[in-house]
Amino acid sequence: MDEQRLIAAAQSGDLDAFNELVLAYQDRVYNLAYRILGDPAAAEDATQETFIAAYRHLSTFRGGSFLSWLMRIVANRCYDELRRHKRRPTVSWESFGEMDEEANPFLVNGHPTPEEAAQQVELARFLQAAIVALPPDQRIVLVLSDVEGMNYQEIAETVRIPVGTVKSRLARARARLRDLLQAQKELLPRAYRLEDED
Amino acid sequence: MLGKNRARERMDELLSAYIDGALSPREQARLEARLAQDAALRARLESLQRTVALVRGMPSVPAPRNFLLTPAMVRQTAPVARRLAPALTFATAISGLLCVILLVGNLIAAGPSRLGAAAPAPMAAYEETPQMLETGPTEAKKAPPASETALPEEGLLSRAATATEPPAPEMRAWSEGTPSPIEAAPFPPDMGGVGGGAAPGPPPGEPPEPGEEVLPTPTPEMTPSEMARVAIAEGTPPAITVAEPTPVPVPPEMPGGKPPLPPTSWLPVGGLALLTAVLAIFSLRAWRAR
Repeated sequence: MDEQRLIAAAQSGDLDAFNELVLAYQDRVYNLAYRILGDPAAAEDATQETFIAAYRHLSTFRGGSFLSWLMRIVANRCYDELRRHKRRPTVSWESFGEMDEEANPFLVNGHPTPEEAAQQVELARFLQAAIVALPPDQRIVLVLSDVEGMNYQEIAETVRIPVGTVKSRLARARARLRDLLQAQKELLPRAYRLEDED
Repeated sequence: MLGKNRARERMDELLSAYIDGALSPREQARLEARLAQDAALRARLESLQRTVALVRGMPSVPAPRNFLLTPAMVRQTAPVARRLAPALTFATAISGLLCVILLVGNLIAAGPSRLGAAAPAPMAAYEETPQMLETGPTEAKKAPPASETALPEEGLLSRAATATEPPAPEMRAWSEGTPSPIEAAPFPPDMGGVGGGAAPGPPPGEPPEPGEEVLPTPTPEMTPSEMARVAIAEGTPPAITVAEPTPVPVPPEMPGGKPPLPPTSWLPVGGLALLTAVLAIFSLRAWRAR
């Protein structure tokens, strides 16, 4: 895929060229939206709105990584959504034990062996439930850092908070997640159980 | 307790930054020295590293469907107010301009003649009005009955009123307090003062014989009532009959002055100002929505 050519064509109004970019990045965009919002329907909405906004504001794209630009748009949309509606995830930490496996999106991901797949599904369900149990401010920083791999500076620019705040929020998010996993360690696959440090 | 929690949070922050390689060389050296001596801190670091590794290793969730855009999706659908903003602004400007033109036009038309010397003229006319009204009933008492009060029909009177445009000499005479011949034209009480005080009668003390009435020739010095009386007798529509009993406060002609201007109407100005204000509010809201 010649990304620069597609971007240039899309900037001149070629919707088909932009749709090629959509097909290339929609999984990444949706994944981030889902991790932050914890709700498949809301993640779909956020993903669609992100691509529409990206197309309309394509003239403001000044080069660099197009994916990073898209990620900033979707992260901002999700962050605004969380702040506006205090959205509660459909997968709550409390209901983790009773979650319907049919509704678990990780069931359709990857091609592991049956045993690996079962472990992966269980762990993924567990982690997702733990992530969405975090406060929104900590959740988005954790997802941008540990799911998307953004550095502190990129997160600060995306969420519009100081770098020092990114560091402290990320540390609290990780520590809280660790505490959650330790508290529910019997639900984790044995290979992934965290031992108490105390 | 609070200090212990704060110290724990501070340590988690250092460990988290250490995992990301975001500590300064000095901070990193100090932390590593402490980790080498503190087993609990090492266990804490390991559990945190494991947590981070779990999250980073989470499988990606694929999109449940394609998010391809259609032309309808990317069409800019501006709100109605936003689309109307230019039109609203233009309408505001036009109505504002009209308002200013009308206001200035009114002020110029009013000018010094209305604002200055000519201003008292209508007031003078109004001041005379009660006096004119009073003359009706007074004269009515003196008005002779019967034939003298046989006034022409209403339509005839109306036509006569419009036909006698220049009653200037008489009007001037009244305003100067000159006794009008009308005072000698008594009316029967049943005629009312205002409506029926038009027909002049013969001078008091000299009741005319029926059929022997001597009619004077209409002259500029005659009062409107006199002229009407002459006109009736001559078979022509009376000229002034209505002008007398209808004391409309028409400004008297100012000798040597300009003819008075029609009164300024503030209704259009006020209406336009209101329209401008309303349009301005809608324009502001529309532009704010952009």
